[in-house]
Amino acid sequence: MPPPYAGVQNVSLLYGRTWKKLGHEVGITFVYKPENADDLGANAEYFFEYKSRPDKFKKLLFLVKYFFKNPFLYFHLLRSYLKVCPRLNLEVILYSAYGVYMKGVIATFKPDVILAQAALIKTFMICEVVKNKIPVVFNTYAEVHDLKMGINKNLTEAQRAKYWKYFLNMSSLVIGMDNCSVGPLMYLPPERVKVFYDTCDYTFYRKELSETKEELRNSFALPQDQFLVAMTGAFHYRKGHDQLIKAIAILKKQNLNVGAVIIGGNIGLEKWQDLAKTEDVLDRVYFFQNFSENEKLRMYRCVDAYANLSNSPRSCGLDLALLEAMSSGVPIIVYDNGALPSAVNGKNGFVVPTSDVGAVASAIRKLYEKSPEERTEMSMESSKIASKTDINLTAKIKLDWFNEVIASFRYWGKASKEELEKALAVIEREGWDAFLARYENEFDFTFEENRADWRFIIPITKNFKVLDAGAGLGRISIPLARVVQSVVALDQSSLRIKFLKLRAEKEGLKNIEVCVGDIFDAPFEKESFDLIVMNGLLEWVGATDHFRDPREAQLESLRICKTLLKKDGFLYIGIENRFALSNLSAIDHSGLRFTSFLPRILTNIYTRLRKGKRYDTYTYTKNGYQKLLQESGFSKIDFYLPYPGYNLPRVMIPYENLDALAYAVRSLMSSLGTKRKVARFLAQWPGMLRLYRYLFFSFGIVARK
Amino acid sequence: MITQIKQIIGEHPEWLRSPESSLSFLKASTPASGVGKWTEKGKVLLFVFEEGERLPTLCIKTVRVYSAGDVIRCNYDNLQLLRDGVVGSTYIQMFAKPLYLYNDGDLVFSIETICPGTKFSQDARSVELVVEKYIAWQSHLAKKTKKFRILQHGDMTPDNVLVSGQNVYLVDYDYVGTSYLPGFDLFNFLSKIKLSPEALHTYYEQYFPRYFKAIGAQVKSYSDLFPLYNIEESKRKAKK
Repeated sequence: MPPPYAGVQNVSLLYGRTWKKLGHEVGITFVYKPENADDLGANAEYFFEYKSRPDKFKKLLFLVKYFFKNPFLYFHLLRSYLKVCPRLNLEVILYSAYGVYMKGVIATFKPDVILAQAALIKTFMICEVVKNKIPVVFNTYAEVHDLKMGINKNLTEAQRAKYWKYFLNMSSLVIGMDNCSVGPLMYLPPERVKVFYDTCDYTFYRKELSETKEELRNSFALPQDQFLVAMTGAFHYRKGHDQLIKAIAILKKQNLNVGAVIIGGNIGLEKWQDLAKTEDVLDRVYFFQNFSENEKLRMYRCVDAYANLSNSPRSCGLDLALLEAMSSGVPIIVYDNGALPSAVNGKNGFVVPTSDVGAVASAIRKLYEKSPEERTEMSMESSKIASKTDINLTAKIKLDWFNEVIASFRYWGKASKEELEKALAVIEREGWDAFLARYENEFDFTFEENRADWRFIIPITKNFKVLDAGAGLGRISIPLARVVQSVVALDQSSLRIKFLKLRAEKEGLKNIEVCVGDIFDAPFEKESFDLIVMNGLLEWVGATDHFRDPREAQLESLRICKTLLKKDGFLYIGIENRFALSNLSAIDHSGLRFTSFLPRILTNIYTRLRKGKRYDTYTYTKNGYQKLLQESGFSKIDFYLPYPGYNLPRVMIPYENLDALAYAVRSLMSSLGTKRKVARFLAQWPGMLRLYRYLFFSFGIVARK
Repeated sequence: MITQIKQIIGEHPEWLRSPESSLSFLKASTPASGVGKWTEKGKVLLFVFEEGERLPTLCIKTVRVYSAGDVIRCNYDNLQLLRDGVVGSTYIQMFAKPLYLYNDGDLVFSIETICPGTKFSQDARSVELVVEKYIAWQSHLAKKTKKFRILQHGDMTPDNVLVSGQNVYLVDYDYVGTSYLPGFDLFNFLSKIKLSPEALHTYYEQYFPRYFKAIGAQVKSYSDLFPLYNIEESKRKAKK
């Protein structure tokens, strides 16, 4: 985001500071480094696209630098964006490079969750870069529903709908700032949108000051006897400073000694000064620029009222400046625009019709005519309302949301997250029978217990302690739990784990413990399992940013398994063969065809071009797996050929025994279908059998510690 | 379970062709689905291969959970019954030989010899061969005591028939003796071969009269028995 000279950035810093205090690591990205380093008081890790305010030349350099850093990714980002937004403009060209830049930042900082301020092109690029890897939460403002803003201006209604639907769905959660949530709610189901308000550092703005009101006014060179109304915000029309200036002019004509204090940023001051001059109130409108927090606090303590007269669809939320002023303790006057009326409870100020300057003047007059005691009471009321938005409260609320988002993020199952959520609701509300009736064959789940049938080739005893890594919906954990002492089901998705838990309860299995997480940070003691199961997991563990090389990630996960296994314990792996014949007609884990067959280097280039990311779902041949397991310290390794596949191992054929394979082909496999007939015919020759074995769909691997 | 199996086989070298050879295990299981308690459905088979042998030597049958162990015990007893009916004759080679029934309160499994055939291929010549052998066996039984006179295999679907050269084998003994309805096996076998209704009718015409004659039964019209067969069949399905 831009450097911290405005509300949104200040709010971010405030959140950053509070989350840091609560023990989390926080990284914040800015366009360029602010001149005053004190502005970054959040104590977070900061990232800057530019060292200082960029001009066109610097932007061009940025573009060139990051284009060449990763042209594949650059084009992928550009293409992905143009797919949903048919307008090619300079911003998109530049921000595709921003995506490449952010990939680097993300790789350095390794966040668990990304909070994007506003749904802008840059946000889109970040989402595309971290797709399926890191959840992104959007804080949206008016960019979705304000048709005069950004991309909305250039799109037709149909294009807009397509754009926002796609874009907002890239987020795991949208936090819509009060009035601004109407936009996201048009395109997302309500459970994906949290309507939230801004926040403020209430404690800071309640601080006792040693100076009196008079001393404070003197320090700002403000008159002692004038009734002063303050307003804070960038000198933009949307903030409505002009409304206050005009109201002051009306009151001046009524011979009331009323003035205004306007605190803004570093640009746009001249137009307000000109307006004050035209309205003949330059003598009673006082402008200030770039106030520090402390200066704001001191100012609010010596004014008589505060106004937010935003008359645009933007800047009409309970914004930071309004809440700070309220915390400090002042009566307020707001327009009935957006969320602003919710700042007034009838006891702390007035709501007036939007753009009705006359009504603003009357409201100020009413306040002016109240006794100092009455105004003090109103001030206390303002402060009470603002206390509910204290950063310490809101920061915790948001953290809870982030935790939920992170927990339910990784989802590799076949069922979509939404479907599974719905199904879980059915189980909880209506029971398993209703679930079965409605969802028969819909999930990667049935009550069949075949998926764990490979267990018969391993000498499992009833005293076994088992870890099912990547447990999914429990098709292995459940049948195993019936015959062993205990099963720990580990999965990255809390939804799937929830399902598994419900299923275990239904079955009356009390020996299943569940754990949400991944194998790399599995919280288990060394040598605590007799058997670890990685069914359909090893091919995915490379898809992590913890390791540069996917194979290194796979090795590490195996090493971890070895440490967790007791002496003589077993590791069972169910996984595809890299050269499976059936892969010719199927989509590889990368989401593309043929990627497992190509040399890794070529595949990498190909997936980068097509998907904008590296190829990290490595599968291997039998020898490849053998090497991988040996390198990670396993010595006794037996291979089996599961038929029809490792996810349904009806038949497990000992790899080394070609006679067994021939017998299986002739007597145990289906004899129907051309493919099977060909296999049966070819099974007559050992050479053909070897080839068939080489091209077999998948492996069941038993390795012993 | 593998540990116990290896130990028992080790104690019985006479079961193997070459006791010194190393063993490998091929697992095959039937689906555990259907109505009722899924876990208790279906069987798991382990075929024991001796190194260098084209066919497995032994077949171990077990279930997924101990509570479903009755199937294994029943299968084992049924096989014993089948063999009792043909003891001393050449028909004994049509069935596996039960070797061992293991039951320790946690695990239950049986060990049998293998039937060295491959899946019956559904051509006319094989059908003729299977039916011929079957009728010969049934005719042999018919001459025996009442207990065996019309003993049926009970689940003689084409899948449970193996053929090797001129030898025919019947496997899967879960339903042996559950039906004493003459002709039920034959009906079960023929009706499940994938055939046109006309071709099937020809088979019926060809084999039913021959079958009843061989067991010495007077049946005016064999098709009158079909409703009974169907009832028997639906009972099976409900049980499966």
